[in-house]
Amino acid sequence: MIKVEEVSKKYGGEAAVEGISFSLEKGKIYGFIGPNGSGKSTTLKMIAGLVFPASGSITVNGKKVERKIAKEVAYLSELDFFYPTFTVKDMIAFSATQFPDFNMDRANELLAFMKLDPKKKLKQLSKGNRGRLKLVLTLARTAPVLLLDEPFSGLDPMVRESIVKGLLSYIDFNEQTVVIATHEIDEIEMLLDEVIAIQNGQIVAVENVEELRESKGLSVLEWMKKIFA
Amino acid sequence: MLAFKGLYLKDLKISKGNFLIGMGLLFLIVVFAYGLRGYFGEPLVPLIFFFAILVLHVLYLPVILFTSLQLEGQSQLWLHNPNGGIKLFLSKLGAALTYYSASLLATFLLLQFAISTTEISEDLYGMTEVLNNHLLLVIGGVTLTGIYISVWLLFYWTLYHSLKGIPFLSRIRWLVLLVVWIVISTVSNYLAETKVFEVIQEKGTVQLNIFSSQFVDMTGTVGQINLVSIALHVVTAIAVFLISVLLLERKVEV
Amino acid sequence: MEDFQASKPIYMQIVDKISHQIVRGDIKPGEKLPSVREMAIKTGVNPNTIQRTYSEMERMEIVESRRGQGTFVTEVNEVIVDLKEKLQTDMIAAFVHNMKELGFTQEEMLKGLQNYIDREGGK
Repeated sequence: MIKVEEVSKKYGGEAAVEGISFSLEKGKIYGFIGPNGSGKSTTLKMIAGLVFPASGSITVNGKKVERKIAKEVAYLSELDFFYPTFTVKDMIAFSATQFPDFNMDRANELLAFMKLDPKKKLKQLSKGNRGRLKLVLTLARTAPVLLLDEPFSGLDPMVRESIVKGLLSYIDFNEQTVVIATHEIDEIEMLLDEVIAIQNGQIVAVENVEELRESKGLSVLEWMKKIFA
Repeated sequence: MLAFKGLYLKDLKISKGNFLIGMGLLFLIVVFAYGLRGYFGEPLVPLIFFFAILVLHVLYLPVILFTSLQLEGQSQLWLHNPNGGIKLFLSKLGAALTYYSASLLATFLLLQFAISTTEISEDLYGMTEVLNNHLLLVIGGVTLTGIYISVWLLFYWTLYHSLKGIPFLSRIRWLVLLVVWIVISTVSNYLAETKVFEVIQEKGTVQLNIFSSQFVDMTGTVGQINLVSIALHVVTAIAVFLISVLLLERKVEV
Repeated sequence: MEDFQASKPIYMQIVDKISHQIVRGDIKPGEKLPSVREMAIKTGVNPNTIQRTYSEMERMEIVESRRGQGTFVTEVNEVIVDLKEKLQTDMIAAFVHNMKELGFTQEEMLKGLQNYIDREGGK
């Protein structure tokens, strides 16, 4: 599904990721975990075709990643960027014209689920509601790959819970591969099939969540504390 | 087509505020111009003001385009889009052209009103002829020049954002742009002075008898339209546009 | 959303939870279980994990899945009785094991248990 091979990327002389390799299977939910600045964001952007590897290769569904992979990859940015004059409805309508897989019915359901007022201007929304809207825009797509970069950061527990429920309610878990990059694992531990731990631009470990419990008797949180210690 | 329409509407929405500011400014200028006319008792003031504004529209397109690009450049998240760079850029140009046309039309109508209500008896430094007969040519020249500048703006903007990914250049991006600009100007000046160019230029020149001698084309030669020169500008604009698209696709990062 | 222990696979913890509900009668024989997705949303757990829970319970013959209809609690009484006994045995085993660890004898265990039930009234 997604293959990352020997990928490196530098920013201003410093390596963001160094020779990382891993592959992700269809229909699984991955947690991409690591401290801030570990290279999670860069890796996600590279899979989304928004940042280009200095070396190595990335393929999605066998296709070499370039910017237009956006057709198959739905990417939720960690940035709180929005067009100031747009309403929620404007943003939905715009996304619907851009992504052929955008499902309007699902978008409307999600809006109701997240309790977002379509008529509200984006700049009037709270940060939490903008976080919810970002998720609506991402989950309304039936793209085979969903990449969520820090979907919980800066959001209160209520919003976090609605995001988790939204994910569970709306992803097609047989077809869609989901990657959630986060440094706060406790929110999503139960959600994951696998965890990929990254630190200082290197993959530290890849584990199956249930196997961690079975063989090591550790929750992901405990395991994380151990490996990042 | 649906995708392009969506992009175009988005870009219209993005620049709407600036368009309204432009219209507000135009309104203030109207008030100001007629105020001055009354104060100094000089009937020609509005006419001159509106003509100047009309010519200044050469910068309208680039300014709208630049502000629109700057908004996207804050995050570059507009690049998370399955549509090609040609569409992304053309929709911005299209939206800017739309507002440009509206503003230009308003200015043109104001100017026409001023012309029809002002008695132009003396020869206004040779402007009478332009105002009466060749206004459309001026508008054509202003529009084409505006588009030409805009395409170069796309190039420099994209180049600027492409350099972000190159560690040792990212801090001196403005300097790099300046150097690129100097190199391009020097080379094109050099080419313009070569014998070959002179010959084709001569061959391609058409005397503008029908338009008498008032029209100033983009090369500044009075009374002639140089077909070769225009063709060269068109080819240059297309090439620069495509290079910008290539840079956007391959080099600009989020 | 529910809390889970760290040391046991989540799918087994959910198997336990549902088994308890069946034994208690909160879920009746023949009753339809929530769909995988509904269960996932209710518990906040990965759907693949829930799928594994249901497969495991099917293997244990506590539930049966009917094509196109969903997953149902078995109507075979013996299975439920067995399950009840198994859970009881598990609990007792754990209790006895812990008491032994603390050094109690068989009589002390029984006596302690009897006293507790008398005092607390089996609440």
